[in-house]
Amino acid sequence: MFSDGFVTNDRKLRLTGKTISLVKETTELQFEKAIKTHERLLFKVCWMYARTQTDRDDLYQEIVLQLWHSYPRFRGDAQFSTWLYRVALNTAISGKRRQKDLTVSYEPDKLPVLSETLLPDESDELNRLYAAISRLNEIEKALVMLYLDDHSYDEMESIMGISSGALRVKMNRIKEKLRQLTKNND
Amino acid sequence: MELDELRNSWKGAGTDIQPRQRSIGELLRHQDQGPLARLKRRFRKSMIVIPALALILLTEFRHQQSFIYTLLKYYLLAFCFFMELYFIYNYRLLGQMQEMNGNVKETLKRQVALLRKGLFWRLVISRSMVALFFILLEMLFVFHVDAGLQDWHQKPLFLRIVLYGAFFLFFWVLTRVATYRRYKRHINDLEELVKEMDE
Repeated sequence: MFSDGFVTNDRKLRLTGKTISLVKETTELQFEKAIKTHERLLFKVCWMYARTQTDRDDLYQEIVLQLWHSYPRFRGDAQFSTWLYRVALNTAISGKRRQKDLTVSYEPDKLPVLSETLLPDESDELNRLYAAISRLNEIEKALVMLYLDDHSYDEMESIMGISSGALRVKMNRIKEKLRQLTKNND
Repeated sequence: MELDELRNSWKGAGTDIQPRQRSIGELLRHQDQGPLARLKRRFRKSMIVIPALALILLTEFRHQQSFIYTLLKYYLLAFCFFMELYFIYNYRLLGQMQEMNGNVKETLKRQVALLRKGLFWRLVISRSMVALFFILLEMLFVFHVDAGLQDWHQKPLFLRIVLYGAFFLFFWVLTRVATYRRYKRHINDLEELVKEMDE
């Protein structure tokens, strides 16, 4: 009788163990699928905040692990992409100590893909604009990224924690700063 | 070119700037190799090593009954105790710093506060250990313990206090410079970003 009870408990334990590992695998697959859907967003964050290919690889790894660590606490009260942006930007900005010179975080040969409709002169201008963006500080870079990704000011507020009124003012300042920087690069 | 004109090109970007390691499953299987995981492992190791060290000290000094050894033993045990507290504190701090679900401003503010607190305790502990060492030296004199420090104890009290003060000042500046180079500059940078977000 004791032995029967023991076997039953043991089986229960094994079943519980299997269930836990099954849940873990399912969660991992769900997470992987969700990240895959938004991977371009992560690549852009890495490109914006890391200087070399090695730095980008490290930052990507760090962001993915941070996302995995934070995933159980994602309650779905925000959009997945909003949450992803929050965690990715938080990781990139707070990890900036590892890069000594952030003002030259741009490599001309590694610029994001250019639209085929652009004329050669326009691609030069585009390069200058990218160079100017790379000279912005961490917060300004984040705002530019969100702006370029067509996020509304309300979404930007939810990600950055800056009021939409202040964001509008900041975006105007950034645009002006970029104008000046591209002029100086001429 | 204006920022708005970059939008179309930016939306198409992504595939050519991807990192080399893209397999998420692979990254998750090697999550113990990340920088934070490495740091956590280091703290965990230290948390185990310190009590072991304290145990060795107790074993080594168990037959030594003289005052100097007793004093030294308690000094080293106090040192181990504070170091252990420091590592436990840092381990927990690291866990708190990994909370990044909030918005950027809120997270940055919290990180700055946590880093400042961590730095404060680091400095308090290291400086207190030096001050405690000076107190130990003086106690040896007060209790007339022969610890081979007669030359030192023959010097006038005023001179000893001046030398203790000078060394403490030197240590103060050294720790200040070292922490600035290692942590403070980073904290200041983060604070600058927070300030900018508040403007």
